[in-house]
Amino acid sequence: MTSSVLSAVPHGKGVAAALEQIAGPENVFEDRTTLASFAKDESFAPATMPRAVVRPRTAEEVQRIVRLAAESRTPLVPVSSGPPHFRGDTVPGEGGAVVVDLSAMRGIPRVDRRNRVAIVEPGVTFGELIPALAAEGLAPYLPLVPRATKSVLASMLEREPHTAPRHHWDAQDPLLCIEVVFGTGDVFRTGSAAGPGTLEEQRKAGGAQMRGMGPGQTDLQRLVQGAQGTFGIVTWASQKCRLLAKRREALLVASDSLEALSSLCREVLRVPLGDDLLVLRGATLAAIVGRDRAEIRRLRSALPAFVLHFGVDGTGALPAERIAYQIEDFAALAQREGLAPARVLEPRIRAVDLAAILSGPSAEPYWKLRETGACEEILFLSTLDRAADLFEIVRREAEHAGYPASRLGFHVQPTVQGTSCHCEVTLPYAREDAAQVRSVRRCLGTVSASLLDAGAFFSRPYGDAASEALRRDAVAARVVETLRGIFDPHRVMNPGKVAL
Amino acid sequence: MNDSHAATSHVVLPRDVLRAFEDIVGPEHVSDDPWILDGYSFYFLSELITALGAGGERKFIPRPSAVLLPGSTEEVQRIVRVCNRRQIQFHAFSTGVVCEGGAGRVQLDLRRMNRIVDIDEKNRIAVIEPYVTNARLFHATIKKGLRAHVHAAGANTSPLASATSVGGEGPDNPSCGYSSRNVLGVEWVLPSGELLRLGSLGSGAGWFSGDGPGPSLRGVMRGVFGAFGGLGVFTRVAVKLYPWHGPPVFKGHGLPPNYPGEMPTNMKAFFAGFPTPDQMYDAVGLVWEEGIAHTFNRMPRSFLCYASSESNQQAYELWQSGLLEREFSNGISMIIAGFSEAERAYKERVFHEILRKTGGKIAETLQNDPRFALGVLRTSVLSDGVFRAVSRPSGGILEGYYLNESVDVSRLSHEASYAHTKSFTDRGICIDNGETNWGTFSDIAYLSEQIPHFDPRDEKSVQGMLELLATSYQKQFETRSGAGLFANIGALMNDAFGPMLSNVHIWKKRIKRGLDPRTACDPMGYAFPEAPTATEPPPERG
Repeated sequence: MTSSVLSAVPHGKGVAAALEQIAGPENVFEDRTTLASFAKDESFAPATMPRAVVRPRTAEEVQRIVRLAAESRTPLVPVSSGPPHFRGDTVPGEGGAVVVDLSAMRGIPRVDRRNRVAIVEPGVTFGELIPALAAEGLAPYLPLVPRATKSVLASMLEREPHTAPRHHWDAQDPLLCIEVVFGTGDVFRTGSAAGPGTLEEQRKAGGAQMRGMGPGQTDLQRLVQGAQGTFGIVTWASQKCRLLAKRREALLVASDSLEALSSLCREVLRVPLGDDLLVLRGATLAAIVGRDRAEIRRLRSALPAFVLHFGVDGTGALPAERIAYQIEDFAALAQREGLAPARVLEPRIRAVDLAAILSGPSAEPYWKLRETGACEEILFLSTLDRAADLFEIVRREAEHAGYPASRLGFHVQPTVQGTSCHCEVTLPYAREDAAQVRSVRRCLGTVSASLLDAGAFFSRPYGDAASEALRRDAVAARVVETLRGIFDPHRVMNPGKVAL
Repeated sequence: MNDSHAATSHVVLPRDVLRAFEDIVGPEHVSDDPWILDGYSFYFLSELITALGAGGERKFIPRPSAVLLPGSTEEVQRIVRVCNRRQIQFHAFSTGVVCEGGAGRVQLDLRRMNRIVDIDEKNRIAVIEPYVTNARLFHATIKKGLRAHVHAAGANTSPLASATSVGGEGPDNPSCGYSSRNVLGVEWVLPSGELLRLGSLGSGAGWFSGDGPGPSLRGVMRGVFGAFGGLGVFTRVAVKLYPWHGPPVFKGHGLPPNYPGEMPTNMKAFFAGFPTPDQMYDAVGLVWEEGIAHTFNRMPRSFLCYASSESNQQAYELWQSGLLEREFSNGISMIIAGFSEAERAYKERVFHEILRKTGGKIAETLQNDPRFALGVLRTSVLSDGVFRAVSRPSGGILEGYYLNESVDVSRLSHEASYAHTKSFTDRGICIDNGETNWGTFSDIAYLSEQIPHFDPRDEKSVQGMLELLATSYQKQFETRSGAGLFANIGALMNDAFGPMLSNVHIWKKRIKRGLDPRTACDPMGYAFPEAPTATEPPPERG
């Protein structure tokens, strides 16, 4: 493997000095303010101070840091996105950890219009990627209105679903190839980026790092996805992009019945039609489009229970015709289901305005925090035919836990071309209100447990949900642990996360 | 463990081991009779495999020591546990393009596990067992307005094997995806005998997801290719289904296997030729980008001859007629499908716009002669597979250049790959049937395979093909255009090609060791395990 990193450091200086040798003293932080900023997040994960924060600028520095950690048995916590963090995965799970802050790696080394592929480093946010892609006639696949500081790469590694289920062929999407430094300190490239040759040599041969499968008989990017940094640190990723719409059309369908809208989603994806497609609870729609607390509350009381958003991009050789036939076919489908699509929904929510919001990061403050300043989430997968039943469980358990049903956020994002759906519960609350904090904490426990019992699948579990999800799947937990021993034999990569 | 293949001589299993297997599956489902076992000593193009020195001779690889026919997942688990206890290697197969027997191994023939367990019409998911064929699944699903992806190996092969263990390309990739990307829940008997249920299945939530909780174990199950039986036995898989707006039943009108069929009213086949390969590849990229193809073939002229004829004689006469040379040089064929007439009309207009931009021209004679449309329907849609049609001329085909990335990789390699193969054609090693770059695309890659035809009965042709294979791979690695198909697969290729593919062979060997510490599962299709360190204790007995 490697020569010792520590041996190059004067005797007695230890890990911090070795980090300074790798990244430069100006990129290693041990001051209390910086350490405290990584010691906790917006979740209820217990605070743990890291021993240092290091901010590498290159993949080579990342590799040297991982080797140092393996040698010195120092836990590493990779962090790509800027604050606020929500899910506890960036809070050290053990004392003595070093946070690897990847925010300085913000390159977009390639935007390839011909192949609709872009490569990003971990620190690139959606706000930075969107204009870079737009200049080439492309746009990213976005999760639901991400926060402005969210790392594009982290979003893909977390398997956050994007809003265009017709183009969501696989849970891996839109991720293609990655370069990862495993916990052993070895660098590995996946997909067609694995070789032969360097990336530049591949490009000369016409390659675009777009085949997100392989090399050969492995798909190790899938193993890294959902692992919350427990297998290694990803230093760049290529991703599929969509064409930038020359024009856009959208429709909204309101209903009191989530079941009716879920059924319409199924029918739409069975054709398939459109690009963006999702169902928002009225409270979630209000939180996304409302500009402040007062407007959110006003909208929430006025909006229907659920709203389906259907968007079509005018792209390609005949953009107007692409829109026209799909809007027509969608309207016919909706009417067949007894539903009425509209371009404007009272109180004056225009479908095209929502489409515009869905095509960028959140305005500040982040929509999940805009009303009350704090928010918890429960994320799970199911199928569209079960989404309404599972929402009823969420609503009932939340009420039992003392959480106001009117504020409860919920949305259904069809995934993998409609063969499954991502459901997301949001629980906005005021941190300074002890009663609200108690009810949200109760919700996290009881809602999650009831959902698990009812057949919801916690595919990307965080915190206590991770322990419970893996407890219910003991064989998978053992296999994951075996593989962890291969890729991170010293257990230095984000220990304590995903119940590992 | 050393890397040498098993000896060719027949190895007899102890009687008590056979009795243990009989207790599990019943005596009628166990055989160690040599005349039965010889039926399991076959391998697709075994002439090439045996010529590489992998044991056996020409048409036969070494016979296994016994064949077992389990009828359930539980029986598979019990067999695998016996194998672990008695240190016997096993290898499972489904419909059996490759059997991979081997002296001393037991072969698990999964033909009794042939159920379509469920077709979840609402959520477009099918759950199938190993011996369900593409044909069965296709015809069962179109009755419900759905269809499964059909990989190019053909109607009588296993979609489970394609999804979990082998490859996954086919002309319907544009609308139905590559096999590995259609995988949802999986039931997987590990080499230890433990039952791993991937994704939502393991959490008791159903078959709809194969990823998580946390890391997705699909990442070790397979990549572009599967482990070819080297990481255990897959007993059930859920695959994504796609919309089918055609008729619920296809009526056959001819003699099997050449049913002419009828083109569904919501579909239309197109044939176009281009003055140059560059123009053709530009058009391929645009067809891909516009998302208008239900099926797509970058079709060598000779392949269209095979696909639209019922015999080699007919194919030869068509080839000699010069029709395809006039209208179908640098040709593509595709089928456009629509839910509504408006959708189909839109896609057709887009296609004509692409032809206008790229200088392509509709092949009018082909367009107006239904045998061509039906040939493409049969090979690309109706689960009849391209494999049979393309294999017919000589009985032996093999991928030389294998390109699986952008359209431009194929474009830049197009002339070189043709010239490379032509030198072998000129020596009489391959059939002279023009350029043979077949291609299609999934949502994330353009796949093209250069497919020369050789004669597996002719020793000179076999040896020449091995040379063509080796030199093609070398050329591909040198030009950085990709890795040859077989460079990606199997224990014998790892050390040679792994270092050029990010050292993937090292991780495969570690994964093999981690999941199969006793090497109970035949490693040939995947990897020999990494050697243990001197201080490690031996693995516990299973």
